[in-house]
Amino acid sequence: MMSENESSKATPANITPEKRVSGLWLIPLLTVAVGAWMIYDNWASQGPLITIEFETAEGLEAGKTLIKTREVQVGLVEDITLNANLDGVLVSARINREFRDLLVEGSRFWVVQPEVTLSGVTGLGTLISGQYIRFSPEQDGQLSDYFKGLEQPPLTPLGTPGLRVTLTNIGDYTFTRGDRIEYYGITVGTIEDVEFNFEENQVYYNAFIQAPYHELITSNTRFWKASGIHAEFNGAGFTLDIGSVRTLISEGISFSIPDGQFQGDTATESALYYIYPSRAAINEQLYIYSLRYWVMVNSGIGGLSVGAPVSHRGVQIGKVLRTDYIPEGQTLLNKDMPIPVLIEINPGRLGLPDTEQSLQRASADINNWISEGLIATIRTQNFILGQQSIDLAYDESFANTELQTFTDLVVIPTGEDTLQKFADGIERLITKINELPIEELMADLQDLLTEGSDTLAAVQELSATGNEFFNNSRNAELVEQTTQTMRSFEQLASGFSSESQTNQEILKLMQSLTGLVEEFRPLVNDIKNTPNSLVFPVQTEDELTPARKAQ
Amino acid sequence: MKFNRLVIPLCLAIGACASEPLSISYYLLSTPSSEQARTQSMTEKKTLVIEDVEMAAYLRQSGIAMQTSGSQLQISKQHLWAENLELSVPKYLATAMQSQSTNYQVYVRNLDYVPSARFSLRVHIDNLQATDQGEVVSSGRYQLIDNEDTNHSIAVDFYFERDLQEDGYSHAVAKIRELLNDIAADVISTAENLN
Repeated sequence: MMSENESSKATPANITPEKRVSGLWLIPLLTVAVGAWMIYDNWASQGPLITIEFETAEGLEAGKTLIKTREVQVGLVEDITLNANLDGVLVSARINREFRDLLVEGSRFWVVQPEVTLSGVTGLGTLISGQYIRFSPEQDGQLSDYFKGLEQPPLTPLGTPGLRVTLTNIGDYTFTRGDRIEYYGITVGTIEDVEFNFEENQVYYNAFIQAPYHELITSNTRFWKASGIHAEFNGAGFTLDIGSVRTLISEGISFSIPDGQFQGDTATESALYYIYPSRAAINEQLYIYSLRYWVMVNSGIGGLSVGAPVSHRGVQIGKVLRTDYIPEGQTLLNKDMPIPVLIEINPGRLGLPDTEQSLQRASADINNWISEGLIATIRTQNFILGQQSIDLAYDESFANTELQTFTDLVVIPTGEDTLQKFADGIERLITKINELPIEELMADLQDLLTEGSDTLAAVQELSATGNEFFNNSRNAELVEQTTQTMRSFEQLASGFSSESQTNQEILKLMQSLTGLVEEFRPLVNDIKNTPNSLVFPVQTEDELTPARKAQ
Repeated sequence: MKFNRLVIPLCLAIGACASEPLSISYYLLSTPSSEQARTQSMTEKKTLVIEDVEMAAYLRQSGIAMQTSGSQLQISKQHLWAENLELSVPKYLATAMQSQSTNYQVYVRNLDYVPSARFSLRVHIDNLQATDQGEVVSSGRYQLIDNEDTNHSIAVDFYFERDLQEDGYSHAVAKIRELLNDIAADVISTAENLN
């Protein structure tokens, strides 16, 4: 037992200070640390965020649309927003880290979607998998995080070996992006881009020729339109070129070296070439220098078109440039107004070098020719098509004529077409026959008959004179010559008689043509009545058949 | 543009595939026979030259005509003449006249070499077709000119018909031949009367 004193003295408590932080806090700290590490790891492992600008976000979806290159996924679209000007969209995409080195300036992005063109059907897989962005990395350059997307897939992958050339057409025909360039039927290139130059009013095509075919392109290469059917009416007749079946439904360009020309030097990048209207056209020599002259035509120029040949002794030396010029202060109402036809003559076609110096020499020579009687004649070149041309020839009756000018250009005197001359002669003859006083002649004839006896007497006298005439040896020779001439004429006429071969040939030709026209008549009727019968089958009514007579 | 350029040829191709081609039969006016091949003596016979046979406009088509009512015609698209009637009828008439009379040597202008002929014949055919009444009919006019005495020239209107005993175009063509034989016989008879 303890005493009271002992019990009143309390032992001081041993106070131990309490721990400030519980060990349990380690758990959330550890969690935070792990979380932070995970975030850092995720941030550090994710690829760069790039921005691609497109005109529209059609088919794209944030969080779903993939970015692929060679069908391997390299990224994912994270966000799509409109740009500041509201004229495009900004697509934010995360590229996987291992592909970040591919994000080189100039790399191309485009949306892959189903497309049906004459060149083929592409992107059909995206009907199931959904549209995606195709990424075509550039080989070298600085890294970038902003790219301008292509609205259409590039026709030629980056780095494809070959040659880019610029083409422009001579005629009205046009081509579109994707049209093929062929070499003897093999597709060796394509038109990548079409540009219209407003200043020159000319269309330019950027074309790519794949290797190794690009080595075929030289300074002498000529391109021509190889599409579908090429039909041409000209003075020489009718020409028809039909391309391959593929070119019947799509445009195409072919190229080659003109016949008889050397291969030429290797072409340079972006070299300019003309697209000729046809294969035949590439063989036509291009002449740069020309002299211009006027030809004043008094007759009609219905068959004389721009481009019609100007020939000298059958060789083309130029062409017609213009037929529609009406001088100031004059009108076609003035029936005596000659129609001015502008022609050009190429010194190159005359055998002179196609240089500026040749112009002076050719001009002097042609002026001399005119003073020696050179005239221009409108000739009918093709009777069926009515095409006309201009022929330059000499006519001594025009020699020493004074050189005339019109709008500062020399005028070549005009002669008459012999055929036209013949037609005019016939017309004059018919007019004269019409003007003959037939009734008066008949009255005179009656008078003549009443004086028959006098006439008979005169005939007797004439007969006697005729005998004397034939007895003369010189006159007999003249009669013999006349007889020979008449015999020649008889032979000539027999060539065109109804039994002649010429006549038979013409008849056969006419019968063939008639038969051909008759064969086309039902077809024309069908097309007239049912224009769609060419494409869609027409339900034809059953025809009646001759039936036996009812008893 | 691209769409159109694909669709139009595609439609043409499909249309072409969908159209069932018409079955077409061709008919000859004259059938080859050994009698025709006989060499004809060109002497001691009166010569008759067929100058011209003019067919009515609707008979110049290759489709065989059939009269389906009083004023209605059907030009067949499936049954066609193998040779244009304006070419085949003169030849057939010449052969028919030649076979019907040994007194005449018959030529066709623009087909044969024609010496100076005694008679010239011009024919205009208005009708030469089957009808819906079970007949084939021919009508028209011919002019026979005696070149030795033009006062003896004569113009004759003719009309012939034959009943069809069978159905079908082949039989109708055979009957048309008989009609042409009738015309030939009529011409020969007229020429005999002119002598």
